[in-house]
Amino acid sequence: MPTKQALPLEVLANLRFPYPLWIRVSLIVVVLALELWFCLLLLGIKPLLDDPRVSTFRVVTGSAVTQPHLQGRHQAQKVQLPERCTVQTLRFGCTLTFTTTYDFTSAQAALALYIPRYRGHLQGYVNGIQLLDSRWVQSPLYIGQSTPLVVSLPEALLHQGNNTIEIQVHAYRAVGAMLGIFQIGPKALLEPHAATVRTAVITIPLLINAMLLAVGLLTVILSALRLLDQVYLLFGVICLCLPLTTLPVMFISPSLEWLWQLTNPLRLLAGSLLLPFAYLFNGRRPPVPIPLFIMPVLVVLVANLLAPDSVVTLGLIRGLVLLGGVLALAGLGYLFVSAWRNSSDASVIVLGTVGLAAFFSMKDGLVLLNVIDNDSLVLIHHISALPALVLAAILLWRFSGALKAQEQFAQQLQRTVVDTETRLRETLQREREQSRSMVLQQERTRLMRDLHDGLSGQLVSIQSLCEFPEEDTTARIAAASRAALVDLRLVIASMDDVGDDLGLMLGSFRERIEPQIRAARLDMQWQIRALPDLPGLDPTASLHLLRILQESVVNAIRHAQASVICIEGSQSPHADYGIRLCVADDGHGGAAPRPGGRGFAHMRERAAAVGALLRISSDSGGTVVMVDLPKQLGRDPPQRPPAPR
Amino acid sequence: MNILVLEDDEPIRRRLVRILGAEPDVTIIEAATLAEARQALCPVMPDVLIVDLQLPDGHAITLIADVCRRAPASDILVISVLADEASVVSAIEAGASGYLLKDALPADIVETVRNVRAGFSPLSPRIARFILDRLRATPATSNYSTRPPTRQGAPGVLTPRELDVLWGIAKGLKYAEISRELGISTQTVASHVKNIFHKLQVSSRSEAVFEACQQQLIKL
Repeated sequence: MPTKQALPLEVLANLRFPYPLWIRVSLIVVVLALELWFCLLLLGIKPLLDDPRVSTFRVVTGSAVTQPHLQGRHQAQKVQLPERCTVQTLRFGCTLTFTTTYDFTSAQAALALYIPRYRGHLQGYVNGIQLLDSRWVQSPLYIGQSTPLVVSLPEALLHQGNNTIEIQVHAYRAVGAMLGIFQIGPKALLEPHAATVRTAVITIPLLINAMLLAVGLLTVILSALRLLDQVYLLFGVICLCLPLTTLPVMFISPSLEWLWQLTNPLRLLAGSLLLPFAYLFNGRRPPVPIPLFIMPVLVVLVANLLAPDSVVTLGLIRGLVLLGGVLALAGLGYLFVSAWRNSSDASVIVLGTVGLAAFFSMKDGLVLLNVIDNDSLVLIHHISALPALVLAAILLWRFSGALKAQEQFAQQLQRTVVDTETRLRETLQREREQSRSMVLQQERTRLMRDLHDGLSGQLVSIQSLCEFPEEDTTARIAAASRAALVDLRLVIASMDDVGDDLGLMLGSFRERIEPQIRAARLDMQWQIRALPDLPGLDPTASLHLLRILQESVVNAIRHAQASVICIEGSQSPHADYGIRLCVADDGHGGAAPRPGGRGFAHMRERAAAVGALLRISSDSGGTVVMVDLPKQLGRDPPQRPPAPR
Repeated sequence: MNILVLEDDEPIRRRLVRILGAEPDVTIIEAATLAEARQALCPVMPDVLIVDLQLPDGHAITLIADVCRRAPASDILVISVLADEASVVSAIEAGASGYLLKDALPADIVETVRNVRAGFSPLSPRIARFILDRLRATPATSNYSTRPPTRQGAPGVLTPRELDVLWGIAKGLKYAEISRELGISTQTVASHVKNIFHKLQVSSRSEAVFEACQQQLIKL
């Protein structure tokens, strides 16, 4: 099936910076070093304050209640923090309750309770008096983890010796409830520390969200311009999904259940689309059509719509989220592996970034599973921004590269057009000059030939007569010079521009020939009136015709002993021919090729040259020379000469 | 009849003098250069001036214009070997009445001179065609054009009849034949031709005025 193809563009994964090697290497090193620095910076921020003046609560007495109205309180027992409870059905959630004792001696400074990590709705009591509700102070921007809580412990509330500290955490979504290690110590120490942690867990993720939104919007807009290049659209959607999932956190209200149901699956969508994106990024088609990757999200949305609270739905969602996670990992893995195989600049950066992200994600996982030191922030959200940022940079790089290439192409095209035009103009000019000089050359050749045929022969003849004078030399010289002048006039007359009007040419001829006929004491009858145009009447044809007429008249004067010469122009009776010119005399006839004379042969040659039909009839009634001219000169004459008429 | 023959080529001049001198009523003055001609012209203006255009001491066109102005009754004929149209027409514009071919038959030479004297202006087919060509080349007059329509040296507007006559001559027809074709008398044809000549000269004169105005020699 023929499909529309995107313009052949450089495969994203093969992108190479167009700089010298050392700049390219430095660039890659700088990018990766910046990323590493960012990660290490975040890693340096510990949720707990490491100070001897601070008491840390790692082990508490606690219980978890999942369905309080059915099962009642669980038996309290010693638990190691952090402790979690998971939600079985959305309607009831779960609750964690912890109690511990704080041994208060004397206050050197104002004390505070510091709870850096928890999840859910937290309430704190000291000696049975509520001091804390996370909803009082918690920032609405809950992104991945809760705002560290710091609450003052008024000295009046505490008494010497053991004080009871009770903390309850209620889950308010499927994410469940959690309480991490907490501390009590001087407020002056805890508050600044908490502020730093807040920056790390609130401000930076907020900035990252803003950035992802911007990048996502940008790439979606770019994809609108490049519909065939789906890689932009996929990337834009992925980038937009991540910040949008945290949207409902800004409204901590159970009434926004529908918003949760809409936005929660977006994370799944982002994960699912990572694999097709990885394929497109490497210039390959995904193994299954891209719309199939949207299916898990649609299933979740539909299930939420049909049975929002059922165990089946929850199970389905968990399964699909797992699938999404697997797909996302596959996508990352594909990016990683292909980047490993490639050696392009883009690949190296992707390799480094994905590797870094994977490393920190694993670390996060181990933290969440309590395998390693749990005194760490969850950095997955921060780190996941890095690959997004790097990939966005690569996409934009290619986009601007494509624009640049197009610009260069346009410029090149323009140059080519200008060059071609110049070349064409030069060629045209050259051809014009050539054809002009050719025409001039032809004209010169023709003139030389025409002068040579008549004039120069006559002049040589005059010269010879002068060198060896005889009796009749004077008369012969006069005749020859007269003939030379006549011929010169014929040549000049042939060059007249008469258009296609044979009549004008013949008019000039009459002026020349009439004195010659009268000089021979003959009468001339000029029977030429309106004649049709004769297309193709050029100097060559004119001269041929003039010479035929001249020769005919001269023959009649010299040899026919006639008294009248009639020159007539009329329509030829032959259908294939146009005008008939006729030179007739009333002499004794007998015109025939004379030995040594080439008069008739010349006339025939000339007639043939213009495609005319020449007939000479000569009898006792006189001689008639008939020239039937073709309807158009310069074309092939009719194939077969018609029978004489 | 006084005839001044101005021709630098001696054999040709001699031939002309001989042919014309054979006529009983003709007195000939010979000149080989413009200077000689001007000298000869001083005491008496000849009836007919036969001039070659290219002379050792210049072009005869100014002399023609001069004579034409000083003695309008004189007739001027230009002698030419090949009757090249441009120079003949410029001579006509300067005031010449026609031309003679140098090798014309004696009878024709005499006839031409007598015809000119009788008021007939000889006009050859090629000259006629040259004038017609120039008429065609003249650009159409526009209201916005400050240039007179005769700028190109073409004659002023010719009447359709004059054009008919000009075409007839260009096609080699004689006055009698043209008169038959057009159904007018030979005299009328001759007067048309005279008008054509007149218009040629007038247009050339108006052209000269225009040219002079352009060069600010004259202030109107």
